[in-house]
Amino acid sequence: MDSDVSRKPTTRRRFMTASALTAAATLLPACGPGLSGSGKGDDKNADEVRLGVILPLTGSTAQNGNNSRKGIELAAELINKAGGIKSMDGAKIKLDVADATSDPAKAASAATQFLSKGTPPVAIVGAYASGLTVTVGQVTERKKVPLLTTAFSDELTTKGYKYLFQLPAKASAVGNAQMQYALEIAKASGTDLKNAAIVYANNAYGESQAKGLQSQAKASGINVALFESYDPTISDAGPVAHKIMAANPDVIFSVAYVTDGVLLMRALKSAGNKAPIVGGVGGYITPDFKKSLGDQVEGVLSIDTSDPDQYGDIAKAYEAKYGEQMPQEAHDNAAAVYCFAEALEQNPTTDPKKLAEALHSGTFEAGAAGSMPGGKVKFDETGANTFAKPLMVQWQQGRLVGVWPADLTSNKPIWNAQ
Amino acid sequence: MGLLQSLANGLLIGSVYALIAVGLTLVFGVMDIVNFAHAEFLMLGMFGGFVASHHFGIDPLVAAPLVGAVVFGLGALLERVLIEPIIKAPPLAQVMATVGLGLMLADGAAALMGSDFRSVKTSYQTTTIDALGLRLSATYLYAAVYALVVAVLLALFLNKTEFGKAMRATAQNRGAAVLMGINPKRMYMLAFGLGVGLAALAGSAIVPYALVYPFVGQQYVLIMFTVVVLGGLGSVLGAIFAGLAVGVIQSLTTLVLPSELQNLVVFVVFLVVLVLAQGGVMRRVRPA
Repeated sequence: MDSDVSRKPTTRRRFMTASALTAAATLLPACGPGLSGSGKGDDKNADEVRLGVILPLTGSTAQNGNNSRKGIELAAELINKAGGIKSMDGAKIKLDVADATSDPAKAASAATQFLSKGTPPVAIVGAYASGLTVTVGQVTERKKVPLLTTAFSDELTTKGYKYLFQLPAKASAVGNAQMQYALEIAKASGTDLKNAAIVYANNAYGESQAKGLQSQAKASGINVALFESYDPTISDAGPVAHKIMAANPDVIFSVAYVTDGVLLMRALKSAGNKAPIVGGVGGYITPDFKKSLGDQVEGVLSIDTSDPDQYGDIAKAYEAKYGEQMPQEAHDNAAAVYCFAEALEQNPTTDPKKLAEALHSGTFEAGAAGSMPGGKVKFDETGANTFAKPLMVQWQQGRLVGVWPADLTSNKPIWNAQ
Repeated sequence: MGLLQSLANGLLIGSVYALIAVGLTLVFGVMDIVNFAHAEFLMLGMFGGFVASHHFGIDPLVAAPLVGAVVFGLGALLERVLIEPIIKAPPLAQVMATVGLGLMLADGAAALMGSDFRSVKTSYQTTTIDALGLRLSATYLYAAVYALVVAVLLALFLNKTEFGKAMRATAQNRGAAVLMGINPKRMYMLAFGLGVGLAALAGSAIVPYALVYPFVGQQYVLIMFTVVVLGGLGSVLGAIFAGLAVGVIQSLTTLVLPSELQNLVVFVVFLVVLVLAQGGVMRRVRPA
C-alpha cells in the first residue's frame, strides 16, 4: 500500500512538470515579438495594434481552442486586408498567441507573462473555456487590460469586473434555453417529455449551465431523473452512460467538450440508448464532433450562442480556407476581434483603459459582431452582451443549422431524428 | 436496467483491469520490483492501437498482439539497460528508476504525439450486443473477452511450459534456479517484457472505447495497484479475480453514488481487506 500512496503525488507532480514545460515552450515564441516591439510609442498612429490571444491549444479542450484561434486569425486577416484600423492610419492588428493549456493555473501564468513583459497587448481575447477564463480574468482585471471572451460562465460578469467583456449569453440562460427549447421542440412534434437526464462536466462551464438546466426543468415541471457530473478528462464514459441508461430518461441533456462529448455519444449508443440527446454548446457543435462520430451526429440538437446560418461572409472565407463549416467558437471569437477593431475605429487608442471605456460605450456590428444574435453586440456595465440570446441548432444532412426559436432561426427542427 | 446489467458492465470493465494488473503482478512476483511505469506502458499500447487504426487502418483489436509484441521487445530492452543494474539495489533506488522511466515515457509521448486527446473510429464502436436480456457494449465485450483469454493463456504459459516453469523457479529462488541451469537475467528480461507487453496489449484493446493522451496512465494507476495488492502481490490468479471484483464494485457503486465517486467503495473495501487479511485476498503465492 505504501507504493500506492506514494504514487499519487508523483503523477501529479509529473503532470505539473510536463504542463509547465509545454507552457514554457509555447510561451517563448509569444514573448519574442513582445520584447522586440517594446520600442514602439503609445501614440494613436501606431502602425500596428497588438491583440493578445490566450487559448487552450493543448489538453482536453485543445480542439475548441484551436478552432477559436482559426477564427481569430481569420478575423484579423480580413480586417487587415480591408485596410486595418482606418482611424489609426490603417494600423494592422498583430496577434500574439499563447497556449493556456487546459489547466486554469497555467492559463493565469500565460496571461501574467503576456502582461508583464515588453509592450503589453491593448486587449486580450480568450480563453475559450470558462474555468480558464476565470483565472485569466483575474489577471487582466488586475492589470486593467480588456479581456474579450466567448466563455459564458455566469461568475465572469457577476464579480463587478470592469475589464471583462462577455459576448455570448450567460451559462444559466444557455442552460435554461437548452431545456426550454428542447421541451418546445418536442411538444411541437407531439411529444411530451417527463423524465430528463442531465450530465455535465464538473467545471465552471458545466456546473453553471447544469444549474440553468435544472432550474428550468423545475419551472417546466420536468422530473430530473439523473443529475450527474463527471471529470471532463475521463478516458472512458462507460460508467456515466450506464448510469444514464439506468435512469431511463426520455431526453438526455449533456454539457460537454469535444472529447468527453464524443465518448459519451459513443458509449450511449453502444449501451443501446434511444433517447434524444440535446447538447450544450461546447463539443456538440464543432466540426471535430462530426469528424469523430460521422453519421451518428445526424439529428443531434444543441443549444448555441450564435446561428451558423447567419455567419455570412466570414463563414465563406473560413470554409474556403479550412475546408469545414465555421464552428461557433471560431465565429464568436472572430466577433470578439471585430468588437475590438470597431471600438478602436470609434475611439483610436493604444491605451487599454481607454479601450475598455470604448468597449463599454460602443455598439458593434461590423463583420462577425454583426452575425451574433440580434445583429449587434453591446456590453453593459457588467461586461455582459445585452443582445446575447441562446438558440437551438441541429445537425441536419451533415451541417449545423439554426432551428429554434422560429424568430431567430430559419430551419425546421426535427425531434428525435437521431 | 438493474443489478444484473450493472454486474455485467462491471465484469466487462473488470476483465480489462485484470489483464492490466496481471502484467504488474507478474513483474513483481518474478523480480520483486514494483514497476511504477506500468501505467505508461498501458499508455504506449493505447497509442500503438491508435496509430495502427488511424494511420494504417488496422483495427486496434487486431493490432493488439503486434503492439504487445513491440512493447514486449522494448520492455525487455529497458529491463536489461535500466532494471538489471539495480535489481539488487535498495528499494528506493528501484522506485526512482521506474518512476523516472514512467516520466520519460509520458513526457516522451507528449513530445512526440502532442498532448491532445485522441480517439479511434471503428465500425463496432456503437454496436450493442443483446444477450441473456442484457445490453452489452461491443467495445467493452470484445476488450473483456480479449483480456480474459490472454490472462488465461498467461496462466497456462506459467504453469505448463518450460519457460513458464523456469520463470516461476527464478521467482521462488534465484540461486537455486541458476544451479538448475536457468539464466536468471534472461528470465527477468522475459518477465519484464511480458509484463509490460500485456499492459500494452490491454491498452490497444481498450482504445475503441477509451481516449488516449500521454498522461492517460494516471487514470488507471491507482486502480491497477489496488487490484494487484488486493489480489495478493505477485499472484496472477489473484490479480484476475481482484480485477473482476474491482470492476464489479465500481459498477455497483455508481448505482447508488455519483459516478465521480465510483472508486470510493473500491478503496474502502481495499482498506478493510488490508486490515483483515494482510497481504491481500489471495495468500502471497508466486505466479500461478
